[in-house]
Amino acid sequence: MPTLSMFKWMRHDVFSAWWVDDGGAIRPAVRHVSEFDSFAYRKFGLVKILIGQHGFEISWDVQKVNDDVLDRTALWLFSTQDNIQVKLTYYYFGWFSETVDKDKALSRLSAIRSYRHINMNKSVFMHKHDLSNIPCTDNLFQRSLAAWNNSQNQFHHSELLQLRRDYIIFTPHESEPIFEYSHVGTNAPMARVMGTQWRKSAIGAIRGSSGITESYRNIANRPYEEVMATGEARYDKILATIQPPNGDPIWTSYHRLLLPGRDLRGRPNLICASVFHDVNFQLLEVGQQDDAYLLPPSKQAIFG
Amino acid sequence: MLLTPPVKQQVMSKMERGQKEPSASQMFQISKHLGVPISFFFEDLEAPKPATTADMVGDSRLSDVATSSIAMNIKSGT
Repeated sequence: MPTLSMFKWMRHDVFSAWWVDDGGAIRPAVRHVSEFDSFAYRKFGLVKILIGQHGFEISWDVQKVNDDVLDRTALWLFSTQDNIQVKLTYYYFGWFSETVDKDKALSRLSAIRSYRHINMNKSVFMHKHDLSNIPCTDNLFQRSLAAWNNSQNQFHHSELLQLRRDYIIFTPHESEPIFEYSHVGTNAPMARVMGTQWRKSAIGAIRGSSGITESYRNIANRPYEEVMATGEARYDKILATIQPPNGDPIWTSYHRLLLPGRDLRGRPNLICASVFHDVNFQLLEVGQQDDAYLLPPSKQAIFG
Repeated sequence: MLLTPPVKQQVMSKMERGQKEPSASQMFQISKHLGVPISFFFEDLEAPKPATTADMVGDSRLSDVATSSIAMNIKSGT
């Protein structure tokens, strides 16, 4: 295992990358995602460690990781200096990431482990909130709401046009409950996650025809239909997996504002504004007692 | 260095005959011995697919536990 003095030496590098192998040894890795990574996580159950100037990043697959490897990783982390930020990046039906201090990271390594044999039956979680719950600090949503109120539902209104690059705009089909991309702003978070190629190819495509799962489509289209039917704005908080091109699914947490209206030609349109957040809730809260790792609090809450 | 193989000849033979799968540790040792990156052994192989919700198998009650804890977090305003 690397020692503290080794870490001191490593700090002179911008980044170092390592695999913790199934024999407990630390092996050099490439910093970027390589062809080997999928095999390492899912065939061998290894853990990857990136060492940077301001902290560590530890990555693993929750359901495939080798227990010995995770133990060695925890031992290694325990031996490192305090007051360090640790980014935990773990695959659990999609990649999660959270950044915590070292002590929390050690607890989380244990707690997340208990989810190994638990399967996830949803890829989207959504909760509707009242518009009054939009934080005052949320500039995009506040400006959008104000602009929409002033626009009389006309999307070519100057105030809405100013925000257009932050929006995805959909045109609903007349006869089917499907929505077609008519505009994807360069600054829309989805465009940033999915890439320029996707943004350009999305225009004219049906929402949900690629990149998101069937369950997402079924759940997430309903609010769009509701907004078009009622003519009311809607605010949701969502956790969902997004499938980037040529990559594993990623869990994303975002708030979404839907605004109904009409385009210059009078066709019904729908603005979707989103603000992405860190996935900062805990999938599994850390237990206060040792045995809580065997029956984590979130399970206790369910089972009583 | 080439005269001292990283794994025993007997084990190596079994691997070559497909009777034994090498561990990651052995793969790293062999790649170091041969002077090639470990990714060399995985070129052109189909990568293992990650689990997705569509692949779900097993105890649906436990699945509900996972989803419920997340749903509670979303509702409480994350």
